[in-house]
Amino acid sequence: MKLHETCTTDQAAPQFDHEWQRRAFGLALALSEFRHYPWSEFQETLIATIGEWESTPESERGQWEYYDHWVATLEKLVDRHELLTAPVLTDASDHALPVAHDHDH
Amino acid sequence: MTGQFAYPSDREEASAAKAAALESLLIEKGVITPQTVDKVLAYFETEMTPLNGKKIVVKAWTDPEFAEKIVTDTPAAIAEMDFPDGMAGAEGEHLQAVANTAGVHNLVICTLCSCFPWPVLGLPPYWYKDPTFRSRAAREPRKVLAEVGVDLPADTEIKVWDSSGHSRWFVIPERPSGTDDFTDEMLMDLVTTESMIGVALAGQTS
Repeated sequence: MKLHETCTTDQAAPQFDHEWQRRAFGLALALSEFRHYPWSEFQETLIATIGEWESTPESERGQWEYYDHWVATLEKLVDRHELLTAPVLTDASDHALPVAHDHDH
Repeated sequence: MTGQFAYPSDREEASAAKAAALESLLIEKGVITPQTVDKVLAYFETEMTPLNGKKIVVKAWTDPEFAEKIVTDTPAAIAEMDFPDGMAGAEGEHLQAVANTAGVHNLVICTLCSCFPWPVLGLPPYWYKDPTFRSRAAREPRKVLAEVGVDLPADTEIKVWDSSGHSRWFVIPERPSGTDDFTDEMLMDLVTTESMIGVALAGQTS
């Protein structure tokens, strides 16, 4: 295997191949920045998602595409934190407020 | 774009559609605003760039005390520099620098996914996230380095650092010889993202 041709040219190294990848990247970062989930959780979930792909037999898993895993991770976190289903609780600077627990007495 | 990175366009469209749908649903629900993603991207793209890493490397080349500190206590050394605040937790914690020396070359990889030190290097080059690169670089680093134009003497030790959630490695490359009278700006031009991952040398042009 030969590495990508842009390998040693700093300027030519593409960061995103498509605008949607850039937006998916920004969306994941934004949700973490506004404290809807900790970045470490996004990262651990991404690692697990990629791990699943890597342990799937080659014939069954399709070609490698980093941002497919990125988007799958994003979906998992939006689900897990109920971002589309729970009421929106944010403070004055748009940061997510911690979900209230009944047992803090 | 080479063929090896091509993939079926329907899969790409599916991921693209999912990402776009998520963003609009989150906007509709009021979790984010239509400007949120643009604002975060703009901050990231102007502040979290390899320029930060270049400044660190040049300071290490010109200030022996800093050179010592950057490898022994990377976060404290970086805190001394006048950098913008990191995005909260987004890959900036746990930065760890390693320095190349005459007999030791460092190469940074991530075998699980791309735990890349964004705040100092910007985003990784595309190929860096490719599993083939990651596994080959772990297995046969000398050969991979030779393929990308880094021919190391046989007696140079190669250390491969696996970035993870806990340590995000970056390399302080060696200062090229013949640069004693260079200004900081001239020195910064020699430092590339690739040299800070260890897949190129500082000042390497090919």
